[in-house]
Amino acid sequence: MLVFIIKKLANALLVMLTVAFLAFLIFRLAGDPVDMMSTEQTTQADKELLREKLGLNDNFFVQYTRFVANAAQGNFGISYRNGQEVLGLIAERFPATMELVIVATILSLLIGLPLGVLTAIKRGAWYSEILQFGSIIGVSLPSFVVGILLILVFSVSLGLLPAFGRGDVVELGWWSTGFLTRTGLLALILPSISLSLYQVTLVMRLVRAEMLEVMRSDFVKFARARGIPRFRIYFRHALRNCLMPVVTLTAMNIGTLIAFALITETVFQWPGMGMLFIQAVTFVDIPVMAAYLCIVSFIFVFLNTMVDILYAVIDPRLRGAQ
Amino acid sequence: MADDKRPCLEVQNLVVEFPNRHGTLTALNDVSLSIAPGEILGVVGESGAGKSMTGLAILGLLERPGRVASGDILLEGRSIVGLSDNEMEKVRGREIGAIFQDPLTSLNPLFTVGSQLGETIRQHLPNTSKAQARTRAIELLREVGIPGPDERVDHYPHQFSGGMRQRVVIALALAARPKLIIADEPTTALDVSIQAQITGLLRRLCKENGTAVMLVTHDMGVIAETADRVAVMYAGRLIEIGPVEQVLKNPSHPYTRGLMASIPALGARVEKLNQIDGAMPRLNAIPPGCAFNPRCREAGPRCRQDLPVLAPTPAGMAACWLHNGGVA
Repeated sequence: MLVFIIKKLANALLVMLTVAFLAFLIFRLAGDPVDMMSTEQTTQADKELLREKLGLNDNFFVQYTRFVANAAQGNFGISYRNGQEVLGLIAERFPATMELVIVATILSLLIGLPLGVLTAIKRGAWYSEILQFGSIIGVSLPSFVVGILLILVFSVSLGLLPAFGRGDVVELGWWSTGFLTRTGLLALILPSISLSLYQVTLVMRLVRAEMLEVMRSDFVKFARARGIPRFRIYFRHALRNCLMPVVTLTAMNIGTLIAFALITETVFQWPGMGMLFIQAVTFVDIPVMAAYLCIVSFIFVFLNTMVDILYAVIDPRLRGAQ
Repeated sequence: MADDKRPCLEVQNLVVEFPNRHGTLTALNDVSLSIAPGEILGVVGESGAGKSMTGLAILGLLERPGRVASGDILLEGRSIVGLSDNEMEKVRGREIGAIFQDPLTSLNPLFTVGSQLGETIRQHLPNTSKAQARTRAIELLREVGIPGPDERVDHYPHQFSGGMRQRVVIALALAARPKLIIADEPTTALDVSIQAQITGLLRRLCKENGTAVMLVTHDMGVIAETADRVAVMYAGRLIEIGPVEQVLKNPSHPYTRGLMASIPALGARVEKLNQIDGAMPRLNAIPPGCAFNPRCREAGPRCRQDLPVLAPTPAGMAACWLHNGGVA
């Protein structure tokens, strides 16, 4: 087990170094940072000084090593746009995105799992057919359309829920949370639904397909022959055997959700990392973009590694494997 | 055969049908048999003859759209046809245990054998505590001959060999001390040397506990070693039934004779293995008269017109005009 974990961590490290390399390349390829930071009044001597100060005269490898060392310590430099620490900018926005993504993920599992089981065991029933059909709509509707529709219905027409923003937040150290205030929670509802709709349908369809497969297996037949009640078979024996792909999908989804959050955040004016990234793109704010790339990749790699370890927790057959 | 004992299981004129778009397939037709407590009835036949189907029908596990169209299944005199799912869940495992062909896939890979045994025990004996169920699980594992049961109870199925897994499956089938066990090809997936151990174990446990067994197999050798009586099935019907010694020594139905003749004798090297020519008809193309008539060397005009019914023979009962007034 220990060897297994160490191997996975080594893998993760390699991936992160590669990502850091790509992020670093963006700096090198997207024009001269000195030109971007200087104005028309800057003299050639000032530019040389700045170049020396930024270490741009060192060779490629030294610069890359410095970048990785700094990034590992959370130092991604200073935003071109407003001169603030990049890490600080991201830390400010990170909780908003994470809270949105966490709520959306929980929603997708809480709704998707039972619906998947239901449509599998009640295959052919009218409500299963409706859910199946509905899930196609859910998969094919772009999330900004869903978001705009939700705003139209619940904010504009009914006036029940806020259409934009995060509501009031409470600061817990550097983490600002919307979970603790009424307006914060209300503000979460529409964006998280709009963000999770696609995931709900994905989880539901995956669970349904897996359940149908598992329900045909011999051990389910044998469990029935042992007189185990149906619901216990569905939710204990069969569902647990379906969890492996669901865990993979969910973990990947958290990554994807962060990416999708970009769109949802724009629609709902949600002050998260996605918004920050969009602004960074508009202003060619390369340090912010590079940091965003590194952090999102880190989340992906971290989740992947956790999934590998979770596999072993779910399936005893993998525990002995090297 | 003790006739004074009340049968544990009685199947009466059982008909199982599978309705489909093109009509209705009759998978089991007019099957009647009974098993006494402590008796082992072997059921043989080719693939598709209806032997497994009979077992599944008794367990109430026919796959949809299959259904019992007519006939009755009595367990100690009580009809179990048409019971609700909830009622059947109390019959399965508690009164009828089952053993399936492949021990490698019969156990849920994600739970220890102890947890699966405990689950079954507590399901059927609800007053059992977790600790009691565990003790009982260890006892059961010891009973089916698994060495070191105290340790093995916490192992996962993949940590057992095929033969050991089938022992676990037998322990699971016996967990609630059912009156009847349906064993569907319990040794087919195992090595020959393990087969004898498993059939021996099954036989010993059933004789000790007075459990009736319906042993479904296509292996005449297993029948000869294990069963008390044998029932031969062909194309969804029972065609011969009788005490195992008589039927094997002196088979009445030409099909049974063909089956016996096709077992190669030890030591006899023959040029060509004996076989029954042709194949069993599909369920949607069963010929009129006796279903076996196109393959039967002794068939006469009557066999192609009239369906033979079970009639007494020296070895038991057979459905063949040869023993019931001639084939002409």
